[in-house]
Amino acid sequence: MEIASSMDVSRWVAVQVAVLEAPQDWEPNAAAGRARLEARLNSAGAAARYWRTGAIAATSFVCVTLLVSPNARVLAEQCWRCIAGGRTEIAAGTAATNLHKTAPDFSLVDARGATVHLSDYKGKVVLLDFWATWCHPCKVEIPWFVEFERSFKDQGFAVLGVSLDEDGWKQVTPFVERNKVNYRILMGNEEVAQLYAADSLPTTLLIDREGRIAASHVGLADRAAFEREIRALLR
Amino acid sequence: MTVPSATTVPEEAARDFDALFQTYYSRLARLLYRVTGDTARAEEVAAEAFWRLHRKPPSDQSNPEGWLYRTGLRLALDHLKKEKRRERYEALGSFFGIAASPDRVVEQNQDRARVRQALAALKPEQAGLVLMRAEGFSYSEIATALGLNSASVGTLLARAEQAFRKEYVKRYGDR
Repeated sequence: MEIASSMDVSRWVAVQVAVLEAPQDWEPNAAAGRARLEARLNSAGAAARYWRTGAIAATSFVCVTLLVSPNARVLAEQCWRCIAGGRTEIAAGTAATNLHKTAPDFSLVDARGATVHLSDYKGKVVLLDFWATWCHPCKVEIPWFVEFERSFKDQGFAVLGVSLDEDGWKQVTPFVERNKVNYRILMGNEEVAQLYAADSLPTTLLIDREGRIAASHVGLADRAAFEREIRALLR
Repeated sequence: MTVPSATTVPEEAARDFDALFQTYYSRLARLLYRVTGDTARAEEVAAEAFWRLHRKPPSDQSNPEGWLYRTGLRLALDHLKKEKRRERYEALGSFFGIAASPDRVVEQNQDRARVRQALAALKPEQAGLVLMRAEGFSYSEIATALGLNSASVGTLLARAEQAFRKEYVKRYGDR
């Protein structure tokens, strides 16, 4: 098709995008959507109240204890700021995953709802695995990672599995339980996947104790190679 | 417009949130359908956008509907990219004799899939411009929703359309 002007491009785009139109007989069910949201708000509210009560009690105890001593006041204030402060958002970083570059930091949530930053693992050798439950090669590698976590944990090694499943925890939790995954699983998002150029799964990176990318594997890798690399980094 | 936070839900703010939901839920879901191609998923993503607005309202609350559109589109486009990753994997799997799941086969409406993938490759703002225009949003509505100067919408839309065509032709040829 010959495109002569921006008006033609506009028409051409309109024709293409028209195929995405919603069915005429579909009307989004706002009442059902509102009810679902309400249920979620209520359950989150109850959970938040429960955790907040516990956290406030513990925090108050620690802070009051520290405040008793004037010398400890600065520490108490820091403690309070730390607890009252918001979550750190994803750090700005490069999408490139060049070897020996600092691994971009991220902030993701684990199965218990805790926020995890890659920087929390500084000083450890980290195997960072981007995976999904529908990915067969990922499922081949996961038992190896379970074994690595078990064998090298005490030497300052940790596996972090970043799931890129579309359906989130409802898909991932049963899989993790069924396969007795013993390492931390985080729910990934497109931003973090792009930071590590995880366009294909599995994408697995090894990060050294200084937080630099030491190795990167795309697709099903060799177990022995992983083990060799981990041992070398732990030395 | 005040958006209630998860911790404090004053009556007035809760009423505002309800009004916001009633006004924008359906329109947002219809817009998101263009990205998801699935009515249930579109509603799920729309509800997720409202949930996020409630849980962590933006510091600037002057334009919550714009925030909802931007967040909904970003979530839906992210989902589409995840699907793309999966499709690539399944295409490879079928090459090696691993069958694609039946629901994926049924879903393979090529025209729609191609348009969606080309959209997913654009910058989120450009995809938003093309989709909102197709959904019948006026220039001023698009400007409000995407936080743009309304005088620039025409130019930005024309650029977004050019980018879409370029991406589509690069992937699937001139049709």
